Amino acid sequence: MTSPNGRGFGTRTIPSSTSRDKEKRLSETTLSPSSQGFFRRFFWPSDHKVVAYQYFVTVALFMALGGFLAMLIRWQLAYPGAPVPLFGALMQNHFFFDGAGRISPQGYLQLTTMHGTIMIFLVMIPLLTGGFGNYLIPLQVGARDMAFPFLNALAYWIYLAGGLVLFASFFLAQGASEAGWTAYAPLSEVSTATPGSGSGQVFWLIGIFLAGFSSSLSGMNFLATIAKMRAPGMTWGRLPMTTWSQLVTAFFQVLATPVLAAAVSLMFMDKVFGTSFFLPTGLHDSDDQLIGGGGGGHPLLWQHLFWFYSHPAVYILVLPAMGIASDLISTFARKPLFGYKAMVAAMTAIMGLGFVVWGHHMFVSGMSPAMATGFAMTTLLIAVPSGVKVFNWLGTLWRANIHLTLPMLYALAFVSMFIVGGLSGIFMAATPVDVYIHDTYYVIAHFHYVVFGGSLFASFGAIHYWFPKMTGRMMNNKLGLAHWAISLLAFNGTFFPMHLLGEGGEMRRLATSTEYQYLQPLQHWNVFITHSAFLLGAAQFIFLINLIYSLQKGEKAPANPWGANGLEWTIPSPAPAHNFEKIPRVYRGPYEYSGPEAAKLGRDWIAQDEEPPR
Amino acid sequence: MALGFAPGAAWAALDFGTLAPDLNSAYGGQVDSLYGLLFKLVLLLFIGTQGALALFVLLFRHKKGRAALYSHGHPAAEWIWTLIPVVLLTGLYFQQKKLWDLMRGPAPGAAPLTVQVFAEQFAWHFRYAGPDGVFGTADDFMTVNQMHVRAGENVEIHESAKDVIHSFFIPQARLKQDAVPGMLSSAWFEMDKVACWDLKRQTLVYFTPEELNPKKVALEGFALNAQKKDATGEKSYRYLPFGKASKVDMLYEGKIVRLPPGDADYVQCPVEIACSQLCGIGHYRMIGYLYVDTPETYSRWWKQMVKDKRRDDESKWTGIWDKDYPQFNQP
Repeated sequence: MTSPNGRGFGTRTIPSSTSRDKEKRLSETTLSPSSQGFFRRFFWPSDHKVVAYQYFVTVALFMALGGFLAMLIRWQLAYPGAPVPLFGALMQNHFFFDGAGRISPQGYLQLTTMHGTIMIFLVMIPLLTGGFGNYLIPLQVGARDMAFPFLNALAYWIYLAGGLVLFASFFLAQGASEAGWTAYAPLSEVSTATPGSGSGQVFWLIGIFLAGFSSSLSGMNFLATIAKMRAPGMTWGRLPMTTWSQLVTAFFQVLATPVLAAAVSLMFMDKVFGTSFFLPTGLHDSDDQLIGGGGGGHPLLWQHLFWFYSHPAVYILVLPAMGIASDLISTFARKPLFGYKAMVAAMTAIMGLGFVVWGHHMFVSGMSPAMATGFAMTTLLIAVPSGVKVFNWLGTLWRANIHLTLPMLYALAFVSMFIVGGLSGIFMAATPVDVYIHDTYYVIAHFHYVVFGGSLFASFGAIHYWFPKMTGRMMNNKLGLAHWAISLLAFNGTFFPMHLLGEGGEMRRLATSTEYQYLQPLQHWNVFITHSAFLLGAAQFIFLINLIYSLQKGEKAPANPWGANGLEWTIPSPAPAHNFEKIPRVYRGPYEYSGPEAAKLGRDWIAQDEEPPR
Repeated sequence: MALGFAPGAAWAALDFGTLAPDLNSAYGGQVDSLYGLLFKLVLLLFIGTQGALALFVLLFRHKKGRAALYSHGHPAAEWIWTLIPVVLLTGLYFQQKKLWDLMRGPAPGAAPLTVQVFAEQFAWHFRYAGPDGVFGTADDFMTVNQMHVRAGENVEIHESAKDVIHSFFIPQARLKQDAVPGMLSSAWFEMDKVACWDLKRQTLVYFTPEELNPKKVALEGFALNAQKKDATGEKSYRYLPFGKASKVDMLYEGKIVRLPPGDADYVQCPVEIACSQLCGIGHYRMIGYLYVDTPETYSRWWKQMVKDKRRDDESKWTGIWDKDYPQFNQP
């Protein structure tokens, strides 16, 4: 019999003696969830699913906060100097507001800095890795838990601690950090340069260190779990793409995040112990007084270290979403994923190239123009694997049997929005063009298309897709459809015109753009964007209502509501505490939809652990 | 429903791809045409991929009796759509590198005018070498937030910053370069058109010095008046007569003449120099003004500066730049 996987992967179908031993060993591993008390179960859980729920709930709270900050940002940009309705009156003279309930220029910088910081470090990274990674990896590889459950529980608490430190910085006398989420030195280091660079920045550094530490721990855990805990027969070529993407992402988390840790540690030393890693000789404060510390440092060193992490971080933000979208699209196209090997190769290429493109954030920084050309080359080339992924998704849809379920709609929205975000990146890779659009709203549009339009839409798809497995209930279709349609429309209304602002030369991080004469003709776009953003924010309440409603009253979900092949669908919904009664044996890849084997069973799907039908 | 996937397509019909006006004839046009080339390429890819996405969803949507094709891929197709982008992007690389080398290499032609720029929270300091052409001497002159260049002349900026990173951005020159404390960055640009305010239509226009010949351009006696239109903060601008002088300096037929303010068709006005790197609370109003001059208006200004021995905020230069970074004055 030829391999059902077709293209070479997964020909090793017979379990070897070693994997039979492993199977026996894994089956004998027993844990007794019932013996765990409430505290143990929810505060120091050994169950990866409970850890994932902890991340989901925490992320939701931080996302609400980050979203609220975004609404304030948008109010200020459309109606600069006008008191903020309701919140302005409630929080006069506190946080970002002045005595009249208006957003002060300093408050505005805190808003943008903390919006970016929260959304990247406390929302998207923990959602995609801590949330979906934790929930899905053991289920998809056929394991009862993570390789290191203790480390997993610890990682969550470190993440929460980091989040709380960042949150606490809002309550400092001089407010939270306001040097941008990129925290460029010397602005972020010299406390006289801007008030938020006092204790606010120290809190920021501690918070980022903790969040990064947590992310590294998760990454190590994921690597070990995927490498060592796969069920018998779960060869590399049979891993679902979501797990593959988590594997590649984990490499980023393990290899790049320590560089961020080093960078924030150095900045912490500069701020607290008076070293000067990032402070040059001859630096002066606003009163023209020489700033002590000895000098000898270099501001660009921070940028190199920061982007050495933070560009790969962009891929941490999008790779898991690519994996999720691949799973969803193949399932609802009822068709094998087009080019499995190429998809894995593309992610690996993105990882390799992702480590050597960081300099494209620094084309106008004063870095050598010769170095910029090298970074331009790598940046242009990273479009190739991203393109391959898009083409393969399209290939999966070709001659498929597409079921437009809610998860599929979100996955398709992901592809569509990711294309826009990917294409606008090409402009920035071309150095002469980047000079003009660098630090403008073009960049804001670009990365929101990737991270919001891309990753967040894929995440919504993932939530709708795996919600039955998590809760035993289906999400409401009508509410979901309304959320999808309004979000997609409002998202484009919010972020597409930002390209136009960028083309007009409007800089980011301006407390108001109306001081500049040449930006006046663009101001009506800011108003339009703000109204779209409010609609986008409001639409998220539909999602919230759907979550709460479906949790209580959603239709009861069967074990496999979507007719999907992955191992997670072979166990009851909601997934039992230790996932698999018996460790499954895997016979085929995860995307064997509409194939000859499935046909023998009279369906268009066949689970990965079903014995080959005769 | 598939129509929902490409709301971006509706946007593409808008006036997309319009940058701020380009006044840099040395390389601005090339930047814009590179942008245009990328735009056409990207638009093609956008329509192709989004169109395919929408089309496939429409064509292959589930209906009774439809079965999906059982296929794991098509190696030939995959090689094609991997290699074509590689070739295309490599080509783009060389295309953009040529222009990058021009922009960030030494300015071509005759020795450019060098202007030193020292940025601080929240002002731009400019220093010209003065009649002796050497920086750091007594005949240098310095201005704050005011820069003058001659139309058609290459200008090289040598910039640094006193306190934090700023970024020197002239949208109309397609120029952006960070000013970083402790290091000297340089970049060059050229502007070939003079910015003028059309008094009749109350709007900004650009002319080459030749085009200005038959026009009466006031160099003084008018002031900019900005008025907020509504709660969105959008402003409308007018140049209104300022002062009581019965005659003011005016550029007319290539000469500076004294004429009554009422005769003026235009007022010479600056373009804005923006700060594009977050530099603190006042970042949003760190605005400099660049006057592009004709040879006549430039020498009028130059003479005035030399005569006045203009040394605005001199201590920033002599007390910090010259003292801490004498190497920045080396030619």
